Amino acid sequence: MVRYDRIIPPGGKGRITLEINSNTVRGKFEKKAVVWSDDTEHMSVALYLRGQILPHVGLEPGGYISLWGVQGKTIEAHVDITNNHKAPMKITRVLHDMGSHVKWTLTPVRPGYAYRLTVFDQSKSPGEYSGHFRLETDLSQKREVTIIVNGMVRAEAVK
Amino acid sequence: MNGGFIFEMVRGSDGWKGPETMIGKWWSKRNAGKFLFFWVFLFLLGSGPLAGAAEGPLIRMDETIYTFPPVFEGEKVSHTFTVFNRGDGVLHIRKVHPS
Repeated sequence: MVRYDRIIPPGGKGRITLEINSNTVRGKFEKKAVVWSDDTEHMSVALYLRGQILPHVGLEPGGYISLWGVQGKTIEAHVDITNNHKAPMKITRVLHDMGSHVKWTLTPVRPGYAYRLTVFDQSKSPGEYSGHFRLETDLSQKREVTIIVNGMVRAEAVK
Repeated sequence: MNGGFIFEMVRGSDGWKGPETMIGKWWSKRNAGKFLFFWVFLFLLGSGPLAGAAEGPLIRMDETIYTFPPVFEGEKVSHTFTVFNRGDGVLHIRKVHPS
């Protein structure tokens, strides 16, 4: 969003305010805005905003889990959950909507600050499925964390 | 005789006279004052206070890059740049285009 003074008298000064929606930007960013004026020598001036937007809770490698593999083999994947605040965070509840397709473990790597959610495929037959994990926390800024799961289990090749 | 043309050759009683002689004559006829006034006027028009009158608006900014400290998602991220008009005409900001 941009707000600015349109007319500046000789010898005067004005303001140009640039605003960034931090809900849609993640990580390091650089935003540019070009100012166009009737100064014939400098008709355009480029302005830059730089910085870093931190998530309250970080998910590595991302907010998704892929469980792809062959039936009968171990199919598992994990997501590391990091609390970026100074105050510790507890994960108070773990819910998912995939029934008997998966089982999971939650391991505190650094209690209060880092956890690992490991998900194992438990499908009894080949096929695809998808669903979500919902992690509830006691962090006031982030009460809930969602992780998407996508499963694809192939039948074992016949020899 | 020469109609005011300083490089015109004229024939006098002692023969043809070249440009050097004619320039001397023209200079001695108090045209030097006019000549000097003309060139001083041109100099003032080109580089003196008269030239500054057509300056117009001049946009100046003390900063064009701002780096935020790291912030959490959802927090307000905004910065106000100050723009100065150092010229003598009104400055119009026509558009600020984010990209």
